[in-house]
Amino acid sequence: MRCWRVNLRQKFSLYLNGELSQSEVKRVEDHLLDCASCRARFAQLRSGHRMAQQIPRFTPERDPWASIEASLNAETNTEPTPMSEPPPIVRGRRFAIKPGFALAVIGVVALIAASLIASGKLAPGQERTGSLIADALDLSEFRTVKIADMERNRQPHVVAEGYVSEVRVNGEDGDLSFKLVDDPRGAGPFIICEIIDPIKLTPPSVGSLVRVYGVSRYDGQVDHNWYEVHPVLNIEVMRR
Amino acid sequence: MLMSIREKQPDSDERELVDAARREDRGAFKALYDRYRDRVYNLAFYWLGEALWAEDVLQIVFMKVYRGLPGFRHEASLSTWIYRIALNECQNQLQRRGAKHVPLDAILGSDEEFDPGMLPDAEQVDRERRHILRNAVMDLSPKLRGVVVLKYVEGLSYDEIAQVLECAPGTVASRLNRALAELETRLHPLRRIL
Repeated sequence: MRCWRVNLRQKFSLYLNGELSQSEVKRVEDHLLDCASCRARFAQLRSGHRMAQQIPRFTPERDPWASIEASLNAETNTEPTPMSEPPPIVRGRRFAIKPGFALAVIGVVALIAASLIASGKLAPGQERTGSLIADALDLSEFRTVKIADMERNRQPHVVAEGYVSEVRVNGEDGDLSFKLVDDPRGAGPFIICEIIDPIKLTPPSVGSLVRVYGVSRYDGQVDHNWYEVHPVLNIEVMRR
Repeated sequence: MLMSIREKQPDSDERELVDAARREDRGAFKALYDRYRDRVYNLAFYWLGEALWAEDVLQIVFMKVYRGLPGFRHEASLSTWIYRIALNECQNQLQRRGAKHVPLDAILGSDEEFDPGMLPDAEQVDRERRHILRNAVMDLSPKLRGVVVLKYVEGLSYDEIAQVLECAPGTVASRLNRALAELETRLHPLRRIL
């Protein structure tokens, strides 16, 4: 017969890991004396606990410190993006920016572009929008979707065309995102496009017509829900 | 028994390192890197299932840590903050690649493959055992795998795990119960070599 003392059963792993107070330990042990069902469950968890204690730890074969240091040295002239307190586990974020902040974001984007030009990675007048990943992508595998039809899409890799209406820097993790719309003048269907690594992928300018390649995703949260291209893998600028 | 206990570093010591790293003290940042490198690597390794991929993520995570240090205000512990960055990056990477983990059954093979004439040496047995354990962990769902890795590989307390995963400690306990039961069920036939 299944025991109804759910609150005590929940404490079994805590007991096994020594994280219960003395009084709680006694409660668990007293109950185990009386309940065959819980004894069986506890025995199972104890066996699992012993196996889990043997889970191996690994050390990386290559220590990437040299690469990290080289990247840090290369970034010395780039303005760091400020981050706030612990980033939440990947969830959606409220997408609302104030006009003054939007101008600041555009300024940061321009600064990044200027740095790229100064470093020789981007020639003046040239718009490098694709990432290094784009060179390795087979773009023919991306399914073309209209922004308004995104909710009917079931394919993981998509390409969507639209106007960039907002560009935002996420204050928590420094990632860039922009809104893709059919009509830049008014409200309507939109897709949020997330650039995971802004150093390697130049974000498009507000008002430009772009084609965005990436992974389709639905981000449904309590405070918002929308369709995304996340992460963006390539951007083609059709018209600035 | 291979369980490793994470040493508790004094908070004041880490705070000084963080403050120094913010002032572009590369040695201080290297010290933080040395302290957290293996922890982040193991989290990434068990999340992604590939050593080389985990090494790449290791680099990305610490670049994000460095960039984020100016905004870190010690409201949460440094380890919580770094683990969250690592988990976020692992989830982003999985989403990007859509990689599938090979299930345990495909790794173990069948009884017909066993040759009783070939007795494995101790080193080979140990290698197989680690491989089996590793795959059993990665067969768990992401929610259960996360708590198992944070508890049994990283050595975090229930409260610390709850902070990293942003859930209640009761949820951590519940998930760990389920994870241990599932591990036991998967590995029960192999208990003699574990």
